[in-house]
Amino acid sequence: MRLETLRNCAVAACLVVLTVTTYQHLGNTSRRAAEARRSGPMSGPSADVGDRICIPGIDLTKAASNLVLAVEESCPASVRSARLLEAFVRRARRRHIPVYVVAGPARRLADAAAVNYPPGLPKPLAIKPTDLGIGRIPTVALLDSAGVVRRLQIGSAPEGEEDRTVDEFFSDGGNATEPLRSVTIEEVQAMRKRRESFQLVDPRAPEERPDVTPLSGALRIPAQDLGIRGPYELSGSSLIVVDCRIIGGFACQAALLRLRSSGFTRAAGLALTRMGESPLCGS
Amino acid sequence: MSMSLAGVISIVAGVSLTAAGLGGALPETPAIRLPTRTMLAKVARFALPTCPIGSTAKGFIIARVETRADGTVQTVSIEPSWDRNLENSPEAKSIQYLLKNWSFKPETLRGVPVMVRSRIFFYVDCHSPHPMIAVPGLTDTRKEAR
Repeated sequence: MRLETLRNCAVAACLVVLTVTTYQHLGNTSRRAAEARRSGPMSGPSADVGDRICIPGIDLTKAASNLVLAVEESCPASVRSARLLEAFVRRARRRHIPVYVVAGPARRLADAAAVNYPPGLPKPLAIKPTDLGIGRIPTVALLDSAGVVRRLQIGSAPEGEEDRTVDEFFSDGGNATEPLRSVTIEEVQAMRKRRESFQLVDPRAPEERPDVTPLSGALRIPAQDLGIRGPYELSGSSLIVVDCRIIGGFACQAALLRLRSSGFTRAAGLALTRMGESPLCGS
Repeated sequence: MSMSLAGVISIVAGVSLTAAGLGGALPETPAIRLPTRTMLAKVARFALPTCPIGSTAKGFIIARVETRADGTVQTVSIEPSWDRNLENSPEAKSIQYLLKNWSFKPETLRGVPVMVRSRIFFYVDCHSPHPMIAVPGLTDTRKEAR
């Protein structure tokens, strides 16, 4: 009797150990996934307004505008991204704009459709976002019939701001269609010599890259704060040059887009890396 | 006898592993991060300091705030900035003190109230003829926070 009890206890203990180990493994996996989400699964330079995107097997000339959504590749679409993407799809359908979704291999699996894939989105094409030159997700791009990016939305929108974001994206006003400009260090030096009016921004956070000495006269405003601090600390009439050599290409693009959405239409990136034409256009 | 000994060893090993496992794998409930704009939309009660007499401070002071699940403020810290003078200024200390008494509408995640952390920007302009400390997007809507 005692032997049997001990055996049962041993089995129970083993089961507990097994459960805890599994739980711990799942915890680590979700933590890793959360870290990946925070850092962003892809962080390379991405296609910009004015660049050309080609989608193999799709004739973009059939419609005046085409909407391309690049959705998350390795982790399930977050609720926030999904809401925004669905709002984009609804609006595009109302305007009879064809919608194409590109995603990584994980999304294209048949089983993946059942796991958190937003139901309002069309079935993804068998193309990776990076193949189109899209280095960041979620990205929404409005292409004209030649495949040229006319509007771009990178990242998700704050909760409750989905419709406003979509409205802004599809609005025809403003200078949003101008591509982000890149300037060289020589151009900056020449502008200084000519005493042209421009403001140089050092977009590092205080704890970021302390080893780098910024260009003289640069205003230190972290890239992520430019949207809020820009209107108070920068002059809207002069050219704003963000030093993209210090931070990554994507972070700099995002900073320039933030400035643009705050009303700074004259913003440029110093040595801004751009993807240019997508690699598939030549094939 | 040997069987019972094995059982005892299994139990001891199991219990110690369980304790170790639970110690490392308890689910974390971190505060969720909200964008500044969203956080400002949740402000229920706030108070702002005024410029101290003689102050000529000008610039941004950024406060990191963490709320409890009920929306009351739990911790406030001033974010390090390039401008060390402003970071350690009397304005920053007043902001930190007053921000502790702010309250926010509770944020829920799938119906469950959760802790929230966010960054709140204070624009200090004590140098101008009309000295002020404002929060873009809350008390100063001319230049909307994005």
